[in-house]
Amino acid sequence: MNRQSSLSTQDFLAHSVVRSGDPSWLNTLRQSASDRFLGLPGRKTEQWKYTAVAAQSVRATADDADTFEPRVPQPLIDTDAKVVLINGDVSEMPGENRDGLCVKPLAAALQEADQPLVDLLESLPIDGRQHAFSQLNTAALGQGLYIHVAAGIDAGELLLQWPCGAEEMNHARICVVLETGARLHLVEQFENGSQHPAKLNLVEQIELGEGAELFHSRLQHYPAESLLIGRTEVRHGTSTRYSFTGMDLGAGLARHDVRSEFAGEGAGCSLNAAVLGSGDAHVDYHFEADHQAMNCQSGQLFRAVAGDRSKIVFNGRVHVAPGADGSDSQQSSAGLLLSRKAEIDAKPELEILADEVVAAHGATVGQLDQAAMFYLRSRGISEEQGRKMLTLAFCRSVIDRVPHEALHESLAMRLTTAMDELESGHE
Amino acid sequence: MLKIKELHASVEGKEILKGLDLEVNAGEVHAIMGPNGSGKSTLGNVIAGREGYEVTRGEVAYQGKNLLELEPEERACEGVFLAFQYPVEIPGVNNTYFLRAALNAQRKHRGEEPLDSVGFLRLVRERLEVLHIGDELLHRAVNEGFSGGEKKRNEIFQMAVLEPKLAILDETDSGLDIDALKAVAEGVNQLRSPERAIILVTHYQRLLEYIKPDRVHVLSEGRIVASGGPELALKLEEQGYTWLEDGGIAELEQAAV
Ligand SMILES: Nc1ncnc2c1ncn2[C@@H]1O[C@H](COP(=O)(O)OP(=O)(O)OP(=O)(O)O)[C@@H](O)[C@H]1O
Ligand SMILES: [Mg+2]
Repeated sequence: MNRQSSLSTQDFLAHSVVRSGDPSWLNTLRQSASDRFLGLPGRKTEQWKYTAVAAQSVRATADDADTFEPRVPQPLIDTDAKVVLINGDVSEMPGENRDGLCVKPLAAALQEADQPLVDLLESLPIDGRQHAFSQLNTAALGQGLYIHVAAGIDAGELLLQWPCGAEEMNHARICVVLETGARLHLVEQFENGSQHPAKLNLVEQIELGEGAELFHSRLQHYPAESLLIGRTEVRHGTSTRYSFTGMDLGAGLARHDVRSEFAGEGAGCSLNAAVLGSGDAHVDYHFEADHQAMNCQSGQLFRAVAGDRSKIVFNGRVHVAPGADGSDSQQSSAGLLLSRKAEIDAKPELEILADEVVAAHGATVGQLDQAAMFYLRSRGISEEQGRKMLTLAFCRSVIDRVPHEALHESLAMRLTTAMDELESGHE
Repeated sequence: MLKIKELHASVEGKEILKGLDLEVNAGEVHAIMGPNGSGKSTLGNVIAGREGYEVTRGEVAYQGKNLLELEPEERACEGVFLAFQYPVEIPGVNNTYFLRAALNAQRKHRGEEPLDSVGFLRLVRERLEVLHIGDELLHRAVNEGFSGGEKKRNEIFQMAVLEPKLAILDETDSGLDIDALKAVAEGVNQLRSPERAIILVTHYQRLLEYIKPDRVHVLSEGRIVASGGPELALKLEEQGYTWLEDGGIAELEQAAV
C-alpha cells in the first residue's frame, strides 16, 4: 500500500478552467492546456516509469473540509527578502524590494500581461502525458510569483517558503527573469511547520539573459505522505550560468524535473541533488541538460541515501544537438543503501548527436564503507554517530555546491538530524 | 594491563593466531617483530575489535576486564588505541572534526564535559608542537590524499590527542623519513608513563634506537616463539628470521636458563 496522497484529477477539470474577467489570452492558454490533459502518467510513460502516479488511487476529495492550519517553519536563512506562499498563494511579501529586484504575485503580473511574461508562459512545452502535471498547472494558472532582476543587478538571496496542506492539490507557477548580467540566489524551502501533508504541483520557468547567473537552492522536508511535483525549466542565453542544489529529506512522493536548455553559446549549468530517503518516501529526480548551442558545459551530481523502505530514482539526461560542438558534460551519481528494503534506481541517458563532445558519467550504488566505519569506531565514535558522519560525508560533494555559508551549514545540520528520524537505523 | 592467553583467531575461516600468549604490564613498552604474514596486524585488529576477526579460543584481559566482550568504540573509550598499518582514507570527513568527535566521545564515556572548539584547538596546537608536525593536515579530510608518511604522522597525532592507556603501533615506523621517525618516537616517549603500556609492531631495529623497549617478542605463524630484551631485536636484525628457525630458538632458550 502506498502512503502518498491521493489525487483527484477529475476535480481539477470538472469545472471550467476559464475565469471570467481574466484576459482572453490567459483563458485561451488555460483552456488549451486543459484540452491536452489525457490523464496522469503511468508505467507506460517512459519518464514516469519508476514513479507511476496514475497507478495511485485517484479519488474525489474536493468537498473535504480544508483543515490545514498553516504554520510557517523557521526560515532556512535569515533574510528580509522572503516570500511565504501558503498553499501556493502569496501570503507574505518582502516589505520593500531591493533595488533592481521586483517580486510580485503572479496574479497581479498576469493582469499587467507584459509581453516577455506572456511569451514565457506560452513557451512552456506541455504536450504528452509526461507533462500531465504541467497541463493541470497551466489550466489552473493564477497562483505563484513573478520575479524580475534588472540588468547588471546582483539581487542577493530571495527566500521562498512553501507551507502547504490543502486537501486539494495546489498549482503554483514561478516565473523568473534575469536580465543581462543579473544575479540572484533563489532559496526555496518546502517544509511545513506541522505534520500536515502537503500536495503541491509547481512549475518554474526561468529565463536567463546574457551573462546572467542564477543559484537555486532547494530544501524539501515535507511530512510523510506529502506529494510534491516540481518542474523547473531554465532557458539559457549566451554565457549564462545556472546552479541548482536540491536536498530532499522528506515527503511521501517528491518528483523534481530540472532542465537546462542552452539556447546561447558558452553557457553552463550545474545540477546537484542529495536525497535521504526515510519511511516510505519516494523521491525521483530527473535532470536534463539540453545542449542546443556550442561550447556549453553541464554537470550533474547526484547522491542518494536510501533508508527504511524508501525508493530513490535518478535519471540524468544529456542531449547534445547536432552542431553543438565543444559541448562538455559530466555526470556522477552514487547511491548508498542503508536498508535492505530500500531501493535506488539510477540511470544516465546520453544522446549525443554532435562531434567533439566530452561526456563522462559514472554511477555506483553500495553500502557504507566498513573500513571507514571501523576506523571511526576504533577512535571511540559510536556506530550511530559514525554512520551519520559517513552519510554526511557522502552527500558533502552536493552540499558543498551551495554558495551561501549559513545555508550550507544548516543543510548539513538538517541532514544529520534527519538521520535520527530513520525508523530502523541500519538493517 | 594486557593479558592474552592461548589466543586463537581466524579470518574468513583461516586460522591466523594459533595460541598466542602475551602479557604487558602498565609502564612497559613491548616490541613485536616477525615475518610478513605471521599475524602481527591480526593481533592488533583482534585487540581493537575489528569485525571479521573471529576469536575461536583463548582470552584477552585488559585492566582485568574481558576485552573481547566490548564493542570497538567501548574499547577505545576504555583507552585502547591502534595506530593502523594502513590508515583508512575517509573523504568528506574533516580531520579536525573527526578527532574532536572522537575525543569528546571518549570524554563523555569518562563522564567529562566535551571540549569546545577553542579548547580543542588549544590542545591540538600543543600536541602538534611537541610532535613537530605542521597544521596543514588538520584542514583536510581524514587521510585523504595523504602521503604514506603523512598518514603515519596523523596516527601518532591522534594518539597524542587521545592519550590512550594501551597503544598498539602497527608498523608506524615503516616508510618514514628520519624526521617523521623522530616525531613518532617523540610521540611514544611523551606517552610513556607508569600508567600506560605501548606495543610497537616493527620490522626494524632503527625505531628501537629511539624508543627503548622493555621486552621484544617474535611472532611467527600465529604464536610468540621467542621473547627477550632489546638485544633480541639486534640479533634478529643481524641474523634474520631464518636464524630463529635454524635453532635460534633453542639457543635463546638455552641462554635464558
Ligand atoms: N581479511 C583477511 N582476509 C583473508 N586473509 C587475511 C585477512 N587479514 C589477514 N589475512 C591473512 O592473515 C595472515 C596474517 O596477516 P597479518 O596482516 O596479520 O600479517 P602481519 O604479520 O601483520 O604481516 P606484515 O608484516 O606483512 O604486516 C596473512 O596470511 C594474511 O593474508
Ligand atoms: Mg601487518
